[in-house]
Amino acid sequence: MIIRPRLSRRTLLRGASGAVLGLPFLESLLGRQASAQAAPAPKRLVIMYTSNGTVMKNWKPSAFGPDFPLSPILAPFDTPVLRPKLSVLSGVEMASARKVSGNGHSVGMTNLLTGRPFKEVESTEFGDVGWGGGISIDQEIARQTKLEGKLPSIELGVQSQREYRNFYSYISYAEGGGSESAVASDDNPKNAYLRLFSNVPDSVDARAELERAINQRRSVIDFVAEDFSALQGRLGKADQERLDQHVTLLRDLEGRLGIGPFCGKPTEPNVAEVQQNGNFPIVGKAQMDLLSAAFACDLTRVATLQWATAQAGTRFEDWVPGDWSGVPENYHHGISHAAAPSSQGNLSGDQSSAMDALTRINTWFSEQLAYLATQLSKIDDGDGQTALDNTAILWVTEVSEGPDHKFTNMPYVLLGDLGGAFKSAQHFNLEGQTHNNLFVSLGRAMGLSGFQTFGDPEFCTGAIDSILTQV
Amino acid sequence: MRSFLQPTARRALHWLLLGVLGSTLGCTATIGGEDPSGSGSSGPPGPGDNAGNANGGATLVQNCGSSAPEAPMRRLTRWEYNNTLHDLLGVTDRPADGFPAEAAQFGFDNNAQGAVLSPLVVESYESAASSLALRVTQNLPGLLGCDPAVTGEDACASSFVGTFAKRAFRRPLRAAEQTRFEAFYQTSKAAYGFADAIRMLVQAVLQSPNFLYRLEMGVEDAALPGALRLSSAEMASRLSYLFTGSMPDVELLGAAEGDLLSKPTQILAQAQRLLESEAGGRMVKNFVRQWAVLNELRDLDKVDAKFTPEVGDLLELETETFVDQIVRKGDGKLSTLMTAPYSFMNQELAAFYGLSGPTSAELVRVELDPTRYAGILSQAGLMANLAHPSQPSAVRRGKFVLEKLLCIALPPPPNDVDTTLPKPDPTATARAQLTQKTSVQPCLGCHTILNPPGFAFEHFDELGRYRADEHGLAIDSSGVLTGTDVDRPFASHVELSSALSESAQVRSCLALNWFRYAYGRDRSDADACSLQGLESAFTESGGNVKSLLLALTQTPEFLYRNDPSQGGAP
Repeated sequence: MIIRPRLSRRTLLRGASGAVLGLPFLESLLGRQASAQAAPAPKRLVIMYTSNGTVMKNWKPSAFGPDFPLSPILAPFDTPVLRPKLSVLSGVEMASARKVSGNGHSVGMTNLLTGRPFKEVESTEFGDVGWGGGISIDQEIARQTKLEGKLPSIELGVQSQREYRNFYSYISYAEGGGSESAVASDDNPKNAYLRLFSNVPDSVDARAELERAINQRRSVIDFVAEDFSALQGRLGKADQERLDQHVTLLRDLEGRLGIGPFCGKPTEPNVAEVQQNGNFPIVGKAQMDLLSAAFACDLTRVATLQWATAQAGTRFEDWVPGDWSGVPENYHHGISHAAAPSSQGNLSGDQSSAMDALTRINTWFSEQLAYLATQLSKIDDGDGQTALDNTAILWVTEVSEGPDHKFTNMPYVLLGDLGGAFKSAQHFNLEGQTHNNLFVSLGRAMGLSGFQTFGDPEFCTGAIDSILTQV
Repeated sequence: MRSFLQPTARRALHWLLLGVLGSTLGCTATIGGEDPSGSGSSGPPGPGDNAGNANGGATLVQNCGSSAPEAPMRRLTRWEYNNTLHDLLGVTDRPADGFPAEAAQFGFDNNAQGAVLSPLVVESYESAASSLALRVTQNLPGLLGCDPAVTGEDACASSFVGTFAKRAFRRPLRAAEQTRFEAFYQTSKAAYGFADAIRMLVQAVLQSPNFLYRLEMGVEDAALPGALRLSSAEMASRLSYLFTGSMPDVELLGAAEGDLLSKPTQILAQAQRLLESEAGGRMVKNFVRQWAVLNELRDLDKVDAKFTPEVGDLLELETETFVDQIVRKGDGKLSTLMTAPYSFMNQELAAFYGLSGPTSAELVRVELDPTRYAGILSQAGLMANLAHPSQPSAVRRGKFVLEKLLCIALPPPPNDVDTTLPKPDPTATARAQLTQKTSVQPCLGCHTILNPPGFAFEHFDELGRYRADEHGLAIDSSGVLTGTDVDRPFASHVELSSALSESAQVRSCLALNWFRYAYGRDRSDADACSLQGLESAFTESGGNVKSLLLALTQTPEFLYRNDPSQGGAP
């Protein structure tokens, strides 16, 4: 099965000077669609996760509405390209987290993208903790928007499996939730590269051989799926369901294994020691570059970028500037606890110092997000639009502010208006709204007009009208 | 709960076992522990100085009379996949290291529920199968075991299907399966030629559920109404994956084919053989690595540059080697593991510890100062992991002792409590600071239990090295152990380790951990009798870990299983 590349919408990588970066122009070879019939603009969603909350008083802009002043943490978005795309959502509550109590970071992490209280509660060596209560919004949207020949989604990680390999590590869950359905982010850019680009031919000559190999692989998968059906004997119900799930995934894989489009195939990333703390920034950059290339080649349209785990222990002093000498604790989680809630006055020297460090850390993350968005703005999506124009990036974290572990006033940043589906460049006061409602809004913005509810229905009243241009 | 052994069958089984062993009646029977002349078991004599433990002192746990044990379906872990690929195809570069990680439960990656199934997992299997097949078919006659030019392509392919799939699926193919695979070969050959067809066969085998999952359909047995015995082939897989983390070896496969793995004594004998093999060592190390949380010490984040990734790797190797040497080549005793005043180091490791002795890269036994070092808890790998980037952590160390050795699970701190470390103070020890901070409620309740076993290790810095003082201040590592069966005051970690090594609670906790590792699930109420039996075996053997490991194969949980197609249980 040959997947026709979307060459009716030219996807080219342009450098800052406007020159096209090394891409063979192959429209004539591959049969371009009649350009009179432009394909609809792609819709893309990215969810970026960082750990341990923010410093609310340095994050929240001091006024609502359009033309809101940027806060210190949001200062990196003050560029001509990004400012018009920046929205800030204040006051949203992760209400489903009210339903069960437990370790704050575990509750936060498991409710984060699922909108459900956690399940499989264990009271063993970690105390009262659990796993995601159902499918996460990125997986749900991926499932509903997936296109033939493309990966439904890609989950990119930066040291998301370093400190923990348990419920603190996962933000994404497949249908049903629980430990069995946790979807890991991949911490090695090389793996994601292979997943995305191995079926993209290096050249015209390589194409035939690649196609043959792909056809063989599909044939094998087809046979293996039958092998599953041929299993005879006693199997318990739960085991049979697992095996059925495995077959479903195999069939999905068979369906999307196809020759990729010719596009700006990047060179294979080669970051050594991806789990070393000092390599945190370069791994992050490699993942962001890979994500940009994947969007440029239209290999997927839903992505998550996970920076570390819940209650992460990342140490930032080697690359985040500022005075680190007086900072109590030198790792992310510790610093977030040494800080005080933003509402508190009379800060001790240590608390001040910690909040300053945490502000700098979050500002650094703003810079990373700004880099990603800027790279997307250099990709031509055709019709005078850039990839950023057709994307929304939602920045999330698992608690509002570190020392509090509260789930009210969650800090959400929305960069990109998804082709005009979202109202742009406003600081929205969303008190009274839940994050379930926010996720329904994401679904609608992604073109799922029938998307009505998400997560635990007790906390979902529907899309948030005030942030969408069309309801 | 149904009793799956009727009285007559129970007695028959009883005599079957005891007839060979000649020991006492009751819930447990001891092999060899009290009978220095040997119990008549068919296993070879165990190595080491286990007088009276002719076969490692395994204790039988029989007849726990509960309902048929649950046995959740197991999928190969990444570690098992790598080992299996090595044994099956000679692949040495560990392809599964790039697969998504298991979601470890209770600290172990082989928990059945931790086998995450996601699109990425299935993709990983597929792309690994694809690239592996390409690699191993570079030398076709070598792979096929026949020369297609001589025997004819189809004949060679047919025999390859039979032998390769048999080894990969850990059982002979059924006739219908052989036919299907051959038909697939024929259509593939017609489309792509012989070499590619063989490649596609390999790809298919490596993604088959029969390879990736350890499927257990079981065998009905009139003596076990409501439960199933494992077939010999299925038992071979259980034995090999438990004791070696890989597929059955030639001898085990042979025993399976001769249906010689249906009796507990036969199973015990093979278990003993496997445990004593090099691959058995690999398994012990794998358990230690997970239980002691030594996975990837190389990635530990430390401010002091002396803790390099290479040092981290060596520390992992040290503790694994220590445990393996004692369990399989030494006296096997828990007390030795907890109190031995020696370890295994090479030159680089010794230099890290500030010791001399080893002169090469090879690990050798190094005698240590017994006032400073006692067993596994004194080793730098463990201590460094239970520390912060620039200071040790009494809280983490105390928690480790309580959770991993005593199976006491403390709740996490209340949400609204400030748990930041006090800032390092040159005039006060960390102990003094932490004591003060946790001396009020709501902290005091748990920290009364948590702090003492943590402070016992204050002599070990954040890199795990012994220090005489704390930046000039005297170190107090004394305390009182409470909440256990061996409560007593102690002067330091040396006395604490000694106390713990005598504790029945520790033995019970270790037995529970091995239970989880071996059976891929947590205990349930139905397992109470078996766990008791395992603890008895452990105790009666003088705390010999080998005895415990072998006893794991003599429980209903290992020997039998529920009938999965009946009722709601998986």
